[in-house]
Amino acid sequence: MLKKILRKWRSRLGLLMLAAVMAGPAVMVLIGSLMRREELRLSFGAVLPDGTGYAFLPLLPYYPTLANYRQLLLQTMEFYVMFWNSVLQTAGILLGQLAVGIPAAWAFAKWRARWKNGLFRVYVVLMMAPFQVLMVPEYLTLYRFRLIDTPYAVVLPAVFATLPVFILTRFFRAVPDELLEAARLDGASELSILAQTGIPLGKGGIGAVVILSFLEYWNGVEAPLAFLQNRVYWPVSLYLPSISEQEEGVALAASFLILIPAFLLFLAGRDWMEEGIANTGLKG
Amino acid sequence: MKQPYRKSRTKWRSIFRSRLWGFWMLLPSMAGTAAFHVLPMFQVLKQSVTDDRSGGFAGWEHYREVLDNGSFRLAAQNTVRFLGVCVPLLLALSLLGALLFYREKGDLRKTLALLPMAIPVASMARIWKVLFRRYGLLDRLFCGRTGGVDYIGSRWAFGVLVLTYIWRNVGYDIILWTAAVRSVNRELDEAAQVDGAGRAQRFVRIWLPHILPYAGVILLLSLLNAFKAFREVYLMAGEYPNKTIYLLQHIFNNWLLHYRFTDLCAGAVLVIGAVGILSVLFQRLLERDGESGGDE
Repeated sequence: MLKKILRKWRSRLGLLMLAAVMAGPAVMVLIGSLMRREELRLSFGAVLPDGTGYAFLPLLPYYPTLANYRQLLLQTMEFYVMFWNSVLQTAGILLGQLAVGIPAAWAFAKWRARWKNGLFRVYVVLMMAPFQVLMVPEYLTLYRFRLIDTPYAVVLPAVFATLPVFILTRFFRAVPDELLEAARLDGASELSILAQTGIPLGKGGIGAVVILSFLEYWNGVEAPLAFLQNRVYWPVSLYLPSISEQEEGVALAASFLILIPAFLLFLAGRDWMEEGIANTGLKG
Repeated sequence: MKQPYRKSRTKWRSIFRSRLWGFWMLLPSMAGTAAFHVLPMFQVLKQSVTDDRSGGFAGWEHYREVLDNGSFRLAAQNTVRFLGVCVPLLLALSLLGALLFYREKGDLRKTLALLPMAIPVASMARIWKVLFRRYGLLDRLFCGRTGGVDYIGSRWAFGVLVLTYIWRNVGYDIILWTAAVRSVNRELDEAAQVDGAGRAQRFVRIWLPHILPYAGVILLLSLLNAFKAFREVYLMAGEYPNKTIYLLQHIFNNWLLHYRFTDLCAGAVLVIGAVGILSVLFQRLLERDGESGGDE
């Protein structure tokens, strides 16, 4: 009896510790963003340039205030511009990836042609290549079309990333061929088969791509840093570190606001995300 | 009843009735991939062996310059060391996690482990400063009153980076390993248990052979994610971090900023070569698992 209770509490304690480590930083962002300047200085201030003493971990703000949010949203125009940049760039990438990737993945999964296997191999190699490798070729093409320093420099190369095609192909392959044969006998064109059978049955894959790509490009740092020198087009992820440490509260408020969309999408699409990740590693 | 398929009469749609329908569907993706990734790769190769002044053939000249470049060496060394330390560590930890959590489907613990992926790096970096800078929380915990270690700005930075990478990616890898662990033949395991096989013996004889075929792909995806750790470094420590975490991406950015294209091209070819060799090895592993675009 006692052993049972002990075991139960041990697993609860484990869960609590896991939650503290994994979710702790996000909670700290929220707490810090609700603090007054003086209070923030007192608790986090030690790491700031003119701070004294040690930082300590406050569990709750003594005098919660929305002052930081007010200042950020009413007095900082830059935040709106960069937040909107992030939204536009991420949305553009997602739409483009789906528009280009869905038909390509459908063809990889269902079209019978010899040479496409070789092509798929090229896609897998490109999928594995880190940004550092693809950056230089991308730069050359962007430079040729005079796209450097425009938002397209971030969006276009990402639209042709091959990871979404890979994930979608995995999901589309699970669509039974009999359905397609039946539709073909009805005289449907391959495009309408894709629209009316493939997409509804491959919803899981599309969901997985949307969420994985969103988390990837909402965090975009490498591509904007390499291709955008004009700060007007910077996404909010690059803007955030440039908020001065004197304004730590405002920076934390901004950190929390950019966390919200990612977190909501994560909550909504967690199962898709899990399935998408598992499908990347599973055998074909 | 399902709706009958609408017959399309427009001409451009008829290309999706021919045998080449797949080609047309692949075309936009192929064109973009060729334009942004495949074709300019040849130009990079050409640039890397061309003399910038005379335009003639320069042979290995640029490669030698890049390889002699102290910063490039440092960056390459750090990157290799980072990959060598963090990837095995992550694989081991997440396998352990998967073995602990694999049973339930919507496990809360798994969700918690995935959560860091949803926290934007920029938000995280802001809190990391409070945790790891001099007089930060960690400093307080370990050094009490006498301390004063800046974990981000000193040689400890490497440890912070490894920790960050594991924190962010452990959920992703747990999911991958969970898929592998679920493939273990339960009946076989139970039969072995009935026959009196111990835990360790069952793990080595039954579990490992089922799990290992997945290890190649998981290793690959972990490597891929490790290359993204530059984000964390940049947002945490800026353009010129402590020299233990100065990574390849830093020097590439630097070259780009100063328009040193020949160095950039030669460096890119070197990295492409290294990654290419790795990915050929992995392709072997993938294909052994029956992974390819084929439908036969």
